[in-house]
Amino acid sequence: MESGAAFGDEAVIGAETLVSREAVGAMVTRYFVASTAVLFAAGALGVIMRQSQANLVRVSPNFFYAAMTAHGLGAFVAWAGFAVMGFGYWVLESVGFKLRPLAYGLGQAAFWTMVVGTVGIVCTTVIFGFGGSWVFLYPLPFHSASQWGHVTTAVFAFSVLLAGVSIITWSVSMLMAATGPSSPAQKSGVLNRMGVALGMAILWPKRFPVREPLPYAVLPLTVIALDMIIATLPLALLLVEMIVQAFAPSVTVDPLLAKNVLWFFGHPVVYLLLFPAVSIYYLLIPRYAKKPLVAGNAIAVAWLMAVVVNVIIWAHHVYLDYPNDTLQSSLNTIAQPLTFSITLVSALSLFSLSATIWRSEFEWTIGAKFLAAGLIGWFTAGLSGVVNATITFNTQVHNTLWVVGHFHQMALLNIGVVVFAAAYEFVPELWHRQWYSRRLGEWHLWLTLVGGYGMIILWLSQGLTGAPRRWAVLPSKYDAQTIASLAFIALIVLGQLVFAWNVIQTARGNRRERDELNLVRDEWQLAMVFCTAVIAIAPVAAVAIKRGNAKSTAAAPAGSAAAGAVLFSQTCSACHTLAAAGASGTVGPNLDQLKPSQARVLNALKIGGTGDGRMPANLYTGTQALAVAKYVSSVAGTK
Amino acid sequence: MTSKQLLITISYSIASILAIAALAAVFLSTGARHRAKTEHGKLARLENYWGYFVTGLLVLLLALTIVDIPYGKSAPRIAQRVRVIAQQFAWNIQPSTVRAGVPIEFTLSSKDVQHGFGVYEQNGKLIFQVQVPAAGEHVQTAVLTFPKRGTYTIDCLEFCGFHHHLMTATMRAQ
Repeated sequence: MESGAAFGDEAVIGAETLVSREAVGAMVTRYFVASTAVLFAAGALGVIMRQSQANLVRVSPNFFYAAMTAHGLGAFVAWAGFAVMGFGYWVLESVGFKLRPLAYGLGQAAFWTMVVGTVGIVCTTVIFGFGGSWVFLYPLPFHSASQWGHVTTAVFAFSVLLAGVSIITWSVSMLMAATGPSSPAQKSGVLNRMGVALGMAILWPKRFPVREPLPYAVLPLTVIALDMIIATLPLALLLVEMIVQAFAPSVTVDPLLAKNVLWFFGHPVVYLLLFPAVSIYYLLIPRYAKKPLVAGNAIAVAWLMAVVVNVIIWAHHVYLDYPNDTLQSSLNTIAQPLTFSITLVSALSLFSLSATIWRSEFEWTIGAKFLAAGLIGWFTAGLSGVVNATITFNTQVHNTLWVVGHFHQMALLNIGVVVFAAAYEFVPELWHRQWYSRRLGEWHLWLTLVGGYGMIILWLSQGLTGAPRRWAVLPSKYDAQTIASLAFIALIVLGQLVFAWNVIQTARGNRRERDELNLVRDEWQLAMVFCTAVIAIAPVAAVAIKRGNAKSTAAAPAGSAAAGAVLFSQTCSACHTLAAAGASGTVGPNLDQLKPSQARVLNALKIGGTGDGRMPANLYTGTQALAVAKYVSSVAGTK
Repeated sequence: MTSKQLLITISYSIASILAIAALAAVFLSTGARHRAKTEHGKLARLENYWGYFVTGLLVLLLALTIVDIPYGKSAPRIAQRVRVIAQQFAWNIQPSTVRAGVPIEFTLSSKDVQHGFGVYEQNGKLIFQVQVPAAGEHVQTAVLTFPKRGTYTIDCLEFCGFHHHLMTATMRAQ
């Protein structure tokens, strides 16, 4: 598996030196192993966030948001994105597209850049507290409310920049491969080869003559490689600006422009995951169905359209930014029909793949089952995406947990599931050994699906009842669904542990022969069903016990200082510093320095603040106000 | 739920069930018994019709929904005017008591980062939201009528920092 050694046995076609199948396989293995490690790290952060919302073990708000930042970039870019970037090379190898040494070297460079970038992102967030969310909405990184420093922002921005450089490097290497020595184009011009790789030979066979038809799997890879170069360069500039601003605060950029630049990248990066996943579908579904992909001209037209539309529809992420009828509202309006048009790529691909499966002798391997599940995830996530893309519906669901449900549906239940499918199909080819256990693969499939759909349906329904997104502590009316989701998350976790065990045993060269035994007669299988149920119920039971205990211990009497402590942390701590309450807000005066009397606190609560920040009047009234006043006056400055 | 949320819930549920049923039918159709049949050409032609069908649906949805966009809405002369200044992590709403049933023209700005102005009815129903631009040249205006008397909660709906979830305020409609 040493890539350096593998360079020794390069295949020689004609006069050209091309990288061997073994060397490409070793590189793909690296991408697979590294991205799977990220899956576990990022997944753990996701579990921490949701259980904190359910109040099992509540983490501090800034840790929640730092974990959210790392989870978003980690799971999205450094797991799903990174995994399909790697498998993209194996798709090319599988359809006979060989790499020149330079394209291969760029693939290795993209790998290491992504690894270093990911380490930087994890350190700046989880360790140094950068909690600006993965969209780091400018100028939020420079308004941390004393939670992280400017150097942390600079290092975070640099780490994201490395991830961006990795994406660009990968894209260049993909384009080199698509237009390289294995291109079926008869003409040698690079533009002609690019046209062929974009499917133009299907539409205009005379202008783009080919020796043989282009394998469909090459199409989505070429489209996304081209678009990611266009989409990532402006973001790179913004990140450089942020690094400069960290050290020279007078350098700034217009926030609305920055938001557009972010989403100019943020939309296509979704397709950095989806399109290579589509290439895996295009490769594997015909393989399992034992017949060629059913595809007409329509799909070639759709992909050609996607090249352009992909990079001009970012405005659907800023539908609710329309300051005073500026150009932005026109951009937003046009984004709706444009976004609708790109759904045709998905609609036609879903048709092609379904038609290929239709009445075929489909071979239902574990990889095939994952792909079939992925098609369902793709279709249903596409439909929730149409809701988001419709401006009038967006006003209802924007920044609610519905959106969180939508993108987990797309990232986990479509793309993630395709990553698993690719692992089950490709690992035997890459490692020259069979999977340790097929049945553990089945467990992985069903635990992921049941857990995934349960978790996501709960998010969608919370969002449709107005539950806000990115709230470390949700209003209590959503508690029941949040707690219920822990059961489903436990199933997902168990599924991934089963997967990890299967990967490790496979890597060690073990095989489980008992797999072929009858399912019901196997006590081991029964034991696992039992354990699964326990694992799913455990977190829910733990929350129930904790809530029961909290109720049974006598609640602080209303109006007491102890009751005031709870009320203070719920509201006042956002803006005020009070060491006794662990509050470090900087908007309002520091209460430890002010040491207000009970009467002064009562008065402030009644009339509101008089300073610049203007604390609203009547935040608390009656006994609640009295309790807060008692508490603050008794503890201010004591710690 | 608002009527729009209900519409989304029902139509999304129906569409998803149809999608899953269609794919399930495809998966169940596989097996060795169809060995002799080759339907490749026919299916490839069907794809075009599927493309037209989806395009038609999308055009219909576009026509029905594009009329209801929130941009460029201007308030009638009788409107009440409310100025909202957001900052980490508090709202300054002047005045915070308004009349129910009369349109309000909100002028929203921020002293620091971006915020989201989300309006909830007392029962927790999200009735309106708009982004509050970060400090700079941009100011957002939005028109909204509070449908009935009572207390309304304002929650921040755009992530604005570590106490984002504590950034709430109330408004009263008389």
